[in-house]
Amino acid sequence: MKTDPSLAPPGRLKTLVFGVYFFLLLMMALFPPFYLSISGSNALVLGIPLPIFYWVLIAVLMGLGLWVLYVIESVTGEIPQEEGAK
Amino acid sequence: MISTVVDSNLFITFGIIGLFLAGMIAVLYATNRESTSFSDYAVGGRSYGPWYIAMCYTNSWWPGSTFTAFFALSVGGALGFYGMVYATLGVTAMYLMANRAWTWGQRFNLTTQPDLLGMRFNSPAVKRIASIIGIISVFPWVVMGIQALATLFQFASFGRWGVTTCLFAGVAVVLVRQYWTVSMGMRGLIMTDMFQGLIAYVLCAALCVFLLLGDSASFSHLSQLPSKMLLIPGGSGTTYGPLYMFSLIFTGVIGSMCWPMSFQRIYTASGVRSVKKGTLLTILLVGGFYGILMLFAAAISQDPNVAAHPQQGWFLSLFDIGGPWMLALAIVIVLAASIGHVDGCVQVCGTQFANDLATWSKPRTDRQLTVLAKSGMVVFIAAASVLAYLTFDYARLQLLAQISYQGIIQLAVPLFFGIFSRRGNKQGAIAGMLVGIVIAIVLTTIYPDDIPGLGSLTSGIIGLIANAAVFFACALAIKPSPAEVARVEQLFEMAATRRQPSGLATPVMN
Repeated sequence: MKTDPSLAPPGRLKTLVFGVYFFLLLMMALFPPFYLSISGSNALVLGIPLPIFYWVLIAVLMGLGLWVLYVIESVTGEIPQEEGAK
Repeated sequence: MISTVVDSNLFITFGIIGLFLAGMIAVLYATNRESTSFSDYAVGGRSYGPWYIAMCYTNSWWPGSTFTAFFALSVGGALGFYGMVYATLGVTAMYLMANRAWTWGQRFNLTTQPDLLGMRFNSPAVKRIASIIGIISVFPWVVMGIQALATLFQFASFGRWGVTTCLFAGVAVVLVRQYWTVSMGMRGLIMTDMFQGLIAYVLCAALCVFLLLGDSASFSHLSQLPSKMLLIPGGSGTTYGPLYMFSLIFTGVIGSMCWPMSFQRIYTASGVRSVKKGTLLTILLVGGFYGILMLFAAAISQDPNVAAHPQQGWFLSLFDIGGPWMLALAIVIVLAASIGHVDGCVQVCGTQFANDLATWSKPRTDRQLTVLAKSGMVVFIAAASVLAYLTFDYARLQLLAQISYQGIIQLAVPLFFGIFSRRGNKQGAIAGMLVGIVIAIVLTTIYPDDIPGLGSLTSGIIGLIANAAVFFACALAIKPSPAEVARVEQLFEMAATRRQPSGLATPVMN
C-alpha cells in the first residue's frame, strides 16, 4: 500500500506535536515539582515502585516518541534513502 | 573480595577471559584491511549502518563503572535509574542534529566534533579549544578505565594476585588491545564494538532478565523495597537541595553529544537515515540494557553481602547465585564494557590530536594525518597507563573525572546553538567556552558534588549559564559581515530537509 505524502502531517504540525511531546518529557525529567512529588511513594506500577517506574516511563516514552517520528519522516520521504550501508 | 581455595576456579575465570580476548582478536583479524585515506582511518569511510552506529555509541557511552558505581547507586535507591533518563534523552539530540551534522560532515570531510565547530564558526581557534577540552576531559576516564580492569583481575584471581600484579595485567590487556585500535583505526573499533557490545549489553541484559525470573534476585523483590530506597534526592528526608536531580539529568542530557567519541559516531554512518535509525536502536540498547541492569541491582539490594559492598555488588551477587562460572561471566561482561569504552576514548583522542591540533601550523597530507593519529594514540594510552599505575587508589582522581564532566558540557553552547541556530559567532564561542570551563573547574574544586547555597546546582551548570550569557552577549554585540551571513545561510540551506520519494511515499513535486 502506498501512502500519499500530502496526507501526512505538514512539517509545522509535526514540529509542533513532537516539540510539545518532547518538551513535556523533558519537563518530567527536569522540573523538580514533578519528580519530587512521587519521592518516597510506595505505590506499585506493574510491580515496580512508582519512584523507579517514573524514570523508566520517561525513557520508554522518549523511545516510542522517536520511533513514531522516524516512521512519519520515513513515510513522508524526509529521510533520504541510502545504499551500500554495512 | 571473593576468595577461594579451589585452584580450578582460577582456570574458569581466566579461561573465560582468555576465550573472550581470543574472540575479540579473531574478529579484528577477520575484518582487518588497509585504510585508503585519513577519512577511512578516522571514521571508517562513512560506511556503517544503524546497528553498528548503535553498538558503537553504546560502547562509548557506558563504561565499566556502570557495573560498579551506577550499580551501587541502584543498590542504594531510586537514584541510579536517573541514568536511564539522561542516556535516552541525551541520545535523542543525535537524531535531531542528524541532518546537519552528517551532511556538513560529508560535504566538508569532517572527522571530529571540534572539526564541525571550527567549520560552523569559521574559526580554527574554536576547533582547537574544543579539541583540547575534549581530550583533557576524556583522559581521566581512560585512566580510571585501566584501573577498573585491575579490579577485574583482582576478582578473577580471587584476591590471590596483589594490586601491582593486577594493575600490570590490566595495563597489558589494554596495551595489547590498543595495537589494533592504532593500526586499524575506526574500522577495528566498530567491528570489536559489535562483538564487545553483544557480550557487555545484550548478554548482560538477557542474564539479568533470567536472574530476575529466579529466586535470589526475583522481580517480586522490587515490591518490597524499604521506603528509604524510594526517596529521590532533593525531596524531604534527603540531604540535597531541590535542584540536585535537575543538575544531574540536565548535565547528562546535554553532555551526551559533547563527548567527542559519542558525536563522532555520526560521521561513521553511511547517511542521515543510518544516523536516525541508529539513534532509535541506541535508545533501545543504552536504555534497555541499563534499565534491566538497574532493576536487577534494586532486586538484589537487600542481600546482606551486596548491601555491605554495593560497588562490588555485581560480582558478589553473581558469584553467590552461580559460583565461579557466573562470576567469570560477570567479569567478562565488565571487561567487554571497559575495553569498549577505553578503545573509543583512545581512538577519538588520537584522531583529534592529528586532525585538530597537529594541523595548527600547516596542512597535512592524509598519510601524515594517519601517522600523527597513530602516534597520538600511542602517547595517549602510554601516558594513561603510567598514570593509572601511579594514581591507583588516589581518591582525587575521581574529582578529576567530575571536573571533566562539568568541563565537557561547556561545549554544549557552541555545539547546540551552532547546529540548531544561525546565530552566534566565533568570539562568543571561544570566550563562552573559556569562561564556562574556568568557572566549572574552580567551583568543582571547591564544591566537588553540589553547591548547597544554590539549591544543590552543580558547578558545570553555573559555568554553562555564564558560557551561554557570554555567547549571547557576543552574538548581540558583534554583527556578522554580509559574507559570513551568506556563508552560514548556505550551510543551513545545504542541510535543509527535503521531502523525497521513498519506498512508501508517492513522488511529489516540491
